[in-house]
Amino acid sequence: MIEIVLGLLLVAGAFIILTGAGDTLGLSNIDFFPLLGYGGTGFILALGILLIAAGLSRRAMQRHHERRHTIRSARLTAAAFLGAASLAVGLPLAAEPFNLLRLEGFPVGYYLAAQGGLIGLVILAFVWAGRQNRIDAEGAGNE
Amino acid sequence: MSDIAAHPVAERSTPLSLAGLSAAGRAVPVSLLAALPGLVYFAGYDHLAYGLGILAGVVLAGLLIAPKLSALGASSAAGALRERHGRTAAAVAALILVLTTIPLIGAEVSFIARVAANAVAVPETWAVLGMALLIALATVALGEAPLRVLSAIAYLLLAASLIVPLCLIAVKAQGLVFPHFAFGHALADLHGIEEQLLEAGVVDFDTFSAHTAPFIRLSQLDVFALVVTLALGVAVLPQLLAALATRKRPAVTRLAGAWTALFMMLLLVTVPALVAFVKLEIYGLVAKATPLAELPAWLEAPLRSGFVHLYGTSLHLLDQVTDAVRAGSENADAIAGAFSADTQALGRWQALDPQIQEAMVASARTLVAEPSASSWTIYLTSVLPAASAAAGNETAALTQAALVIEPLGLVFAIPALTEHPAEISLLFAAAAVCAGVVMAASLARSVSDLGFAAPSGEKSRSHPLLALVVVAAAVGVALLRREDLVTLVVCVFAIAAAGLFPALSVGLSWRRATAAGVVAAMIAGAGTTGYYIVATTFFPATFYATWPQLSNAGEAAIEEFSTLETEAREGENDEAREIAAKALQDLIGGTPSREGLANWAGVDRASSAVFGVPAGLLALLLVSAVTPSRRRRSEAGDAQP
Repeated sequence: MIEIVLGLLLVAGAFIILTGAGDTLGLSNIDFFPLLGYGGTGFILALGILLIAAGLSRRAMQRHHERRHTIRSARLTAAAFLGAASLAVGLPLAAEPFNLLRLEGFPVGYYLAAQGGLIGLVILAFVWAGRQNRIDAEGAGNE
Repeated sequence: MSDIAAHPVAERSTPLSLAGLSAAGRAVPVSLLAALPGLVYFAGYDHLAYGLGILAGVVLAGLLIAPKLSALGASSAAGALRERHGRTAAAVAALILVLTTIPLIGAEVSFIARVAANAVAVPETWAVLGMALLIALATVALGEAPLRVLSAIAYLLLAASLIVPLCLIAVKAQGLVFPHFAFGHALADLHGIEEQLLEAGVVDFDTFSAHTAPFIRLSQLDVFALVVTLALGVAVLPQLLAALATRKRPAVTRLAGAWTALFMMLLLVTVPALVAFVKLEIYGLVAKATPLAELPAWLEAPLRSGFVHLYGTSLHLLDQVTDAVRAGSENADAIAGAFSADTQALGRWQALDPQIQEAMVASARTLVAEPSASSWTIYLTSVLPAASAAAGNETAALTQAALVIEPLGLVFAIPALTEHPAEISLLFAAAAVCAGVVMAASLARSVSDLGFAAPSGEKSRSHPLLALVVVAAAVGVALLRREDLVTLVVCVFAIAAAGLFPALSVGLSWRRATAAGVVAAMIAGAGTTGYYIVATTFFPATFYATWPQLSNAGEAAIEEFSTLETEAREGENDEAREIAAKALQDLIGGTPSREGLANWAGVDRASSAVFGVPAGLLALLLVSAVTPSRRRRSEAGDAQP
């Protein structure tokens, strides 16, 4: 339950930052948007949605024990899909500030898009496969 | 399910690492893979999106889609949809697969024919027919096991043709280093040369972009759309799914998918390193203002490939002109007539300044009169001086803007930069032909085993004749379309992604998905993306007139559009109206250096899966919500994610 409440608070916060609704709530002196931008606000929104989804799936597993395997699989798929999206899409879009740093001649943002994201995707693939296979094995054991 | 649990990795007729190696050899069309160095050379950071999109697609294919196919006992998208949603859904999927497979095989044939024609000096049309014959033979005569072995060999050859030259070039530049990590120093040196060129004011901003700076050639939205299109397109490629889903246990399929991703990653991380060293070498020539008459000999091979041009000319074009002169053409008009069957050569010829055409005809006459003369020397001493003079280059030195490398051109320059150009060229030719034939044969075989005709529960029948018809149609595509293969391939990925991804990802796992919903998703997805691609390519004016409010055109462009539209309608005379109409056409349809007005939110037509996939998902959700499920297999559907 705590995850759902925290998630709702984060989603509401993201909307307040985006729409400037702080004015109506008497928070006009605190404007976080220039600090966070669309990327930061989007991150808060995504974190909120993830927390809500995690809370809902946990509740669903407690209530429908017979669908535990399906819900765990769906949760893993969603998390892995988000992970792949972050590495393949999020990483190259967020490269600009990382390029200010140089490591062994590499602008770090360029390195992350050229190699880091690719290596991350492969690690994700093995972790995803291993976890899903374990979920399948546990599901079959329970049956 | 218990079967899977009892033997999670039991199905190991071949080690999973080898299965991954074999699947990696036919994961992505070689016409796209070979273009990656050229793409990264052109746009630097922005085109790293290709590698990320491709690998994300391989991960999704291996971990998300192929296990679902395995669980249903199918090896193709159409087979899986038949099992879950019946024959109508399978037939629609089969239609999308056939329509997307033909251009993909066509691109493969076109590219490997060009490689083979370069390697053994035969006319390209003959090379196309020879490659098509090879593919047809491989499709019909080879079984799955020999194709798997050939696919693994193709991967090893491809990896060697990238990694060996990278090591050789890196050792030449930096001594004994591990190039995948040492190319950071090459990037730093390249950055220095780019700054030097910028300070000297000798760059053309239409073609130049700082290599490591993001979002110069593509906007953030373009990068997003490109990665999404490539990822979802690769995830539903039929030959990749067929290679992975041959294992009947999802657990084993997943691990094979992860190994495939690992092997693809090893190829993809090599590309940026290779490009850094090659670009450093080429930009070094530009920075030194190398006289055109003293160009290094390693430029000969790429200029002969036809994918690299200097002031619009190339040795490939000079060879074609020489053939025309030998056949009796005596002047520029007669040569244009001789090129009439080859639209690509005709376009390049007509784009040249008359002064350059004259120099090329004179050079061709010399080559006909003296067959022992070196075409490279004559090109350097006769054609290039005329070309640089026509371009107003008084110094007759190599400039960054003069040298245009098409995406597929850089792979022809790479062997020449090593100390063993002949061996590396041969290695690359063998790798490209082997991988292209395996890829095309695998695609054709995936069509022959669509499985929608067999009744549920029975093993689907194979249709080799259908595969041969598809190969024959692909030859037609290869003969008609010889340039811009990358755009062709990515457009096909976009249609495949929009048509099949919602149906395969959600339609196979969501227990409330209905057959009608899945059919609607495929039609809506492929229809939306297909409409966007066709309309913006062939009817841009009508497209813009229909959706002006969705275009990203700025105020200045809209004003220019109104002015040109008026001029094209009410110009003083026919000539003025014609010029205005041509300018209007370019403004709406776009040019290589300027985006057209005919778009939705500025998204490139090749990345239009970002419209089709949401349309497909929406159609699936809405239609499934209002139609009853005819084939309820909820428990079986629940058992596998």
